[in-house]
Amino acid sequence: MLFIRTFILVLGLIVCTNISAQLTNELNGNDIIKLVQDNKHSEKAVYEELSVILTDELGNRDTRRMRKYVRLNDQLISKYLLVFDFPEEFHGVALLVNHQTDIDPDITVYLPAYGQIFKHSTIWKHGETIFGTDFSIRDLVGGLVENYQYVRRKDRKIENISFYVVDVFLPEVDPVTAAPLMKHYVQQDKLTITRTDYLDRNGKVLKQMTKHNLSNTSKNTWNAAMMLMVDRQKDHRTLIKVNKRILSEDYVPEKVFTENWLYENHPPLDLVPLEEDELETELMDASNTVLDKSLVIMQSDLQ
Amino acid sequence: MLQNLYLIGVRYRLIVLLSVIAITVFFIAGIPRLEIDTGLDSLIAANDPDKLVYQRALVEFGTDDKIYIFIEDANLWSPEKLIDIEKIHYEINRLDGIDNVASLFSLRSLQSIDGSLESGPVIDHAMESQAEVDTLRDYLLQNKLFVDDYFADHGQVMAFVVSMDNVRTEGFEIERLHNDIETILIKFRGNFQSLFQVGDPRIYTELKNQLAGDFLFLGSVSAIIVLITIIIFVRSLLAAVIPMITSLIAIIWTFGLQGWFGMPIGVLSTMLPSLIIIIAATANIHIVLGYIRCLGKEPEASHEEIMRKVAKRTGISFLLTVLIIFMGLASNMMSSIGLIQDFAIASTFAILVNGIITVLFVPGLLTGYRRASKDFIENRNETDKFPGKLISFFRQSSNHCPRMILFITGLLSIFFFYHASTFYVTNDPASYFSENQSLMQDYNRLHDELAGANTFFITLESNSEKAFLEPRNIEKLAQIQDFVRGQEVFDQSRSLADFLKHVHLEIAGEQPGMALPRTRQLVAQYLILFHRSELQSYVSQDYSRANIIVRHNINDSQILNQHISELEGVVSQIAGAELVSSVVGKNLMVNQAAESLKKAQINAFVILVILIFIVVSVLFTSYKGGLIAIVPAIVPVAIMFGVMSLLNIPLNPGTAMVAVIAVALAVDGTVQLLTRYIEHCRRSSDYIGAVNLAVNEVGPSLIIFGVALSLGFGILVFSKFTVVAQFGALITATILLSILTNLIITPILMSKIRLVGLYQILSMSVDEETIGSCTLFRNMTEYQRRKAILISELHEFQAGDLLIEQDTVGRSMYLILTGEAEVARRDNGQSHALATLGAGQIFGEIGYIREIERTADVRAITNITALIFDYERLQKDLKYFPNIVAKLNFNISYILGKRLADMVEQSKS
Repeated sequence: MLFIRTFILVLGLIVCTNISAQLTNELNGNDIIKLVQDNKHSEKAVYEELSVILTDELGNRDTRRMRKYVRLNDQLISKYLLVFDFPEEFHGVALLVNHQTDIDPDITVYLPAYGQIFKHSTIWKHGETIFGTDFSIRDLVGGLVENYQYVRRKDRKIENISFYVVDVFLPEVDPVTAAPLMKHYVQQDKLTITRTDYLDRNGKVLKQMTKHNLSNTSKNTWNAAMMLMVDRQKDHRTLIKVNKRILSEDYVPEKVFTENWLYENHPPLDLVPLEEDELETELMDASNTVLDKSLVIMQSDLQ
Repeated sequence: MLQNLYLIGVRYRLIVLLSVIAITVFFIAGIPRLEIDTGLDSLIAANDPDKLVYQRALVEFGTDDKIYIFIEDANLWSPEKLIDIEKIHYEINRLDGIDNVASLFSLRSLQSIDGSLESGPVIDHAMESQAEVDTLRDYLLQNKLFVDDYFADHGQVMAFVVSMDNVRTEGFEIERLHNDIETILIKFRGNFQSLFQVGDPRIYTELKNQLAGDFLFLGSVSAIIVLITIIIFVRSLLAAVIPMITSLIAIIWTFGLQGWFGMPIGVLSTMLPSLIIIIAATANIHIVLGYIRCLGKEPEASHEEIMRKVAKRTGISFLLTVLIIFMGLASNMMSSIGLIQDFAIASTFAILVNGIITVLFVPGLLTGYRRASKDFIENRNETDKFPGKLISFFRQSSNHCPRMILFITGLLSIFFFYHASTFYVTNDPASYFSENQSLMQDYNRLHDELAGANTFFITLESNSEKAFLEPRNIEKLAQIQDFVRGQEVFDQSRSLADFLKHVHLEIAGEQPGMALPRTRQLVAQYLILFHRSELQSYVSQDYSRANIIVRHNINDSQILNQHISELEGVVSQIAGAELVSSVVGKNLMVNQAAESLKKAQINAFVILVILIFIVVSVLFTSYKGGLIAIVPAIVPVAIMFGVMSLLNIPLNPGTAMVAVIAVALAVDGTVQLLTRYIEHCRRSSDYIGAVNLAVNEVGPSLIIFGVALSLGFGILVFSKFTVVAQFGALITATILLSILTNLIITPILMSKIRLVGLYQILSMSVDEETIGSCTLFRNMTEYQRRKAILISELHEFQAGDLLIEQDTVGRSMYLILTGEAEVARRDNGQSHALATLGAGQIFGEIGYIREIERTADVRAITNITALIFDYERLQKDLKYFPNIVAKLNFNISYILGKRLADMVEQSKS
């Protein structure tokens, strides 16, 4: 009897494993990305305090700190706010993203030193990097799944971790002949993208984003404590480190995603500098020198 | 010793031959290792203090070496053309060795439209309609960040700015990169009015290609010219072929050495084969002609005997020729410019090698050509007709109005020397090319339509981080740019201030007096809108250092250095105490090396002249000989520098070597003249006659080889490199001038002095016992005795010759070196022998002291060799050799005194 039970159990396991493997093999690129997206959207409100460490090709480092507010509602409308706290010159500089399904997000930039909020939607469209980092806004808030085609490639095992490899194409191109824009590496056990290669039209890797120190923050959602973007062309790199993460709507009230909140919490600075008179006096001598020299040149030219 | 050296090649011909072949094979194996260096680094002074600053700027702000792809078409802004341009962009971008391509297809715009910021690539989708293209064009042509860098404002020209990665430092990679780009451009060239690349890879490749062409052309034509010239004037194939053989070996050894030791060949190396051939001809011909002359005189003598005589006759002049030319070329090693140093090392080695090969190899080669030499002897008189007439003309002029000639020469020298002080210097590699070459025309096109391809940096540095977020420092950048613009010599400048002006204008619009943001926060927040890569050429990551990039097309070091010097002063003032400023760039360092070129040239020239003065003074035991030797060196060079100044020919790495090489060649002629002059002075007290004889003997060969040298160097005028062509033209003119000086001025000066050669003193064969016991040389050192002998006249008499005739007036005193003479007095028709004189004894001293009739006959009993001391001559020589003549006079007094005492003693007894 025991033998029969054991046999049935083993047989069941084998069948289940095969079914699972078959199901896994049957997933196409779109399916994989959909699964990834579903997992990601399980968190409705996220507050993070981030350190952004910029390193140039010489190894020079520049550290910035910012807050990130994320809120998702049931209609899949997502809102993101990034606000600089450090250094002092950037304090209050903010990027506000209102992201609705099917349309490009509404993005605004606030420059407190100028005292005005600007619409800045094109940085989404062009995948522009933001605030001097090597990350684009899409890297930080995630792109719309429906805007691309995903083609699964051969799975890869890197350092004993299995990955789905998915190439990303523009919707209008033929994936057979066109070059992919990106290559996602989806960690199979966590269904999370942990590496993305950004490619040029020749297939050369321009940038590479990797996620590190993943932690299971809720249900099937895995968040990285660190994200590294390496610009292979410029040999620049940007590391975003999550110092603090709170999954609470209390920390992310709706009002933070408004212009008023920005104006109130980070009021515009005066346009006219205090040291203007001082500056004028200092530059006067230099101006005179320039004029004198110019006069000498003109005279010598005339001669 | 020289004789033994000459005879090595005769005695051990096979060993020498095999050794030369073995060494030649060794050096041939080194030739494939030769590297061509046409890069700019070899033009920078090794000790340039700006090098470190420049290196730091390179690391911080990126390279200043760019490739520019120039595209011109009347319908440039059309969808079809943009498709081609895009293909060119991506094909170049795909090449190995390309870091990035900045062009229409990679540029990023930042603009404000109705309160909305828009940023992204200037082209984000395929341009399908002309209207779209027109909109894009209108935007780009009004964007001050792009115009002049990438687009001409008239809309018919655009450019790519291509950055290379580190592999570009390898010459092979640079050439490969140039060829890869050219392959791409060729495909599309038919679609545009103009499509070309300019930049270091093109300069490198064109220099290399031209270098190869010049090597083959100049070297072979020089060889042919020298060969033909020697055959025409000397009528001896032997005399023409031997220099070709030795110079070919010297060329192989030299390039082999460069290959084995990793010394690259550069632009100046193109003149090396010509130089070696010409100088080999100059040096070898001394030996060949000497051999031919000796063979003509003693056709039955053995080869070894003839070579021994050749060594005696030509050894010194050959040694001096090699030594002086060696010193002339070696003096170029003082230059701190690698290109000149490498050339100096190679050419010095070549001359040394040629000297060694000549001494070891030529005596052996001459063995088999005795018949050919005789033919030459028979025809020689004909060949001297033209030079002889010319020399005769010069001699007549010199003899009739020497003072006038010296005066005119002095005036001319002063005139040209005055102008020489204002000659200008340039070290710019663009000056290697002539203006009508396509490379230069393309550079000028880029400059005319956009901005020059030459770049330098103005860097400002503060001790504090974020200094360049401060508006006052940004304002300083703008002020410096204003000044650069005011200088009206540089094409364009770009700095952080331009980016801030642009974004401020886009966001805030036109605001009078507010072109730049006025708070550090606003500066920082504007800059955050740019990509890091857009700013990295202009500001360091911590904002403590800023950079202004200036583009220009100035290819004249003097003009560039003048404006840079002015700029440095103003930048320093504008920067103030809190900022450290520097103006650096590879292009600037290359041009600043022009100053070191000038100093090195002056140093090399002065040192060479001093060395020549010392060598010749020692050689002829008189500083006056040294002074005479440098006159034909200085006068032509002063005239050459004056002409350079008057004709606006710059001193550059090519022309910088004219002076020292010309001096060396000129002094060679002078030394030959002096050598012959002192030989003739030993046989005559007629110095003018001795000068004429010396000029008649040496003049023809000076003219013949001057012509050969001039033609050989003259061929360099056809070099594709302007520097080499200028060198060829100037050295040809200078050599011709130095021949004139040697034939006109040197004889005039020479006739005013009396010289004795050190080599004569050292090599003189005398019976020490005879001379040492002679009272005439009492209390004189051996050196003084030998010198005294050399300032006298040496005569040989046959047995029976009457040396002194009684009752005649004569002012000469005789010293018998060998043989015997009888002293006899004739009284009333009867001759009474008074004495028999032998070696070491003197006679005729009374007539020397006082102009009275001789009291007895002196007749040679055997063949006699005697020194004659003539009163008039010694009085003249007193001013040239005061110590020696004074001692001789004292000793003569002693002899007379002793004779008087003896007579008194005799009369007492």
